[in-house]
Amino acid sequence: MLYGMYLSAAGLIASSYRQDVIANNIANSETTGFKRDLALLQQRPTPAEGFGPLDDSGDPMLDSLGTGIFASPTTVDTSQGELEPTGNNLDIGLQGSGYFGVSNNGQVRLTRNGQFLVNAGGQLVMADNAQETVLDPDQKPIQISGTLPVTIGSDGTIMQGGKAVDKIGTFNVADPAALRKDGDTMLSFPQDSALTTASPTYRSGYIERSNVEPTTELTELMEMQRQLEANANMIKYQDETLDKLVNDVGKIS
Amino acid sequence: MAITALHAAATGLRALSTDIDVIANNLANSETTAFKGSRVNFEDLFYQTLKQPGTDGSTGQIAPSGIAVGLGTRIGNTEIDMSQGSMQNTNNPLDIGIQGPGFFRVKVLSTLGDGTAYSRNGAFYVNADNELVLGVGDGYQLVPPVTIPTGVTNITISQDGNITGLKAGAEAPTTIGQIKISQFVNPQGLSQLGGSLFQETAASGPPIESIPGDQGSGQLLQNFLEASNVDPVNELVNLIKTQRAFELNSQSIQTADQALETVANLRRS
Repeated sequence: MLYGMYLSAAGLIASSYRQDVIANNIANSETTGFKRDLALLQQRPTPAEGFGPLDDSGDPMLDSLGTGIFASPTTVDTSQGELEPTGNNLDIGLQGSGYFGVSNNGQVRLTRNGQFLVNAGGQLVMADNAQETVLDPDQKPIQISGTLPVTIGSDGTIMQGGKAVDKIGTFNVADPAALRKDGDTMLSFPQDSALTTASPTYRSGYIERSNVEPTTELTELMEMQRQLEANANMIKYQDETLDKLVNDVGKIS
Repeated sequence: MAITALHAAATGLRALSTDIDVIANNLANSETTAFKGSRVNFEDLFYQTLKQPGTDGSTGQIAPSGIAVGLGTRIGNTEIDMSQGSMQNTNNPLDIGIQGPGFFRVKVLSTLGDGTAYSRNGAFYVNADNELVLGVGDGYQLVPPVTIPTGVTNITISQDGNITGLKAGAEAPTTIGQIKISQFVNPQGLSQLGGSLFQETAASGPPIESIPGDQGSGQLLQNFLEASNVDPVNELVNLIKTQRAFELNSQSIQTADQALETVANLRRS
């Protein structure tokens, strides 16, 4: 009986965790280059599945009894976000797989956020942080000299005054699941994983919108609310049954 | 618990309400000469790691990736849209528009930074001391200074900033002065003073002064003023989008609140 209550409690906690993730997705529905998190849940393996039958005299029914639910590792939905025109030629939206490489004091991270600026030193940097330099395919900072207008081709080539100056690099990692969100639209990757060159289409004058779909998120949010209530009700019913068991059964009048 | 959801949604509401403020200011300035609209850039906040990647699971399996919950959003920066505004004919010979990048340099109050500011508003007047001054605020003097002698007619300003005029009694026009243009490596890094003035910062880099048309700077267009570069249609679409996103976040708050209420009422009396 108490075992069932803990199963319901695990379900309640799992639903609440999913609500947290959905709330973060909704909060970032306007964040450039944001990829929504998927809060997946999984069934906890039964003792028999996990460790084998407990002992020879084990009750097969107890061995195969479900053991509730827990959160799976966070998965990121990397589907393409819509491209929104901005008219600023240093805004670049990527179409296809790949991430921009950004270096901050030697630490390289990846991002899909293509809002760039040229800082006072003439380096191409992230619009929100002049210390984060955008990298070329050789993982070197991109230097732009003078004030001549800059255009960016669909393969990432930076043209200034009719001449190719440099190229904006894009990279992929072997295992996208190993990417970790750091906030500020930055993704860090394990140091032992090598970057490979990617070749998406670069759209200058566009930004990639967040791939959060309000309809999906709100539907999931409602679903989670009801699931949470269902589990809460299960706890109440089991409590009622326990009440009967403890207080009514075997009552001596 | 749902507290995280409450806070994440609150960060969304806060950031989006700033977005509405910026859009409202853009719309309010859709008729301001040489106004440059701003745009709000959003970023995700830090992630709370509930489970590190690579840890052992209850049944001995090793998790290939961890469990992380994001804590919401914030505004990364507001970015000035330095794109060209359309040119409006005014038929006033002292109205000058800049076609392309660059700013007029003007002298402002010495208490404002280094006493120099930059503007694209080219509505110039001649003050009592015959100096060419901006028609906004206190009549900021153009730098390098240009003096228009009394009685000069037929003032012509060429694309490269050369000012010529016909002095009283003279037959051929003479050169009166030269207007120069200042550019910045990172014009988005300028600070906005209001009154269509911008000021140099460490982020913008030092000004690069040139004759209009040189080093990629814009050319001058006499008799024209640059209109605001705010596109009302775009701003209104953004406003609608922002309002809906705001409402979505309030839904997150309500759901999280109801979840907390459900949990709070778990115990039967």
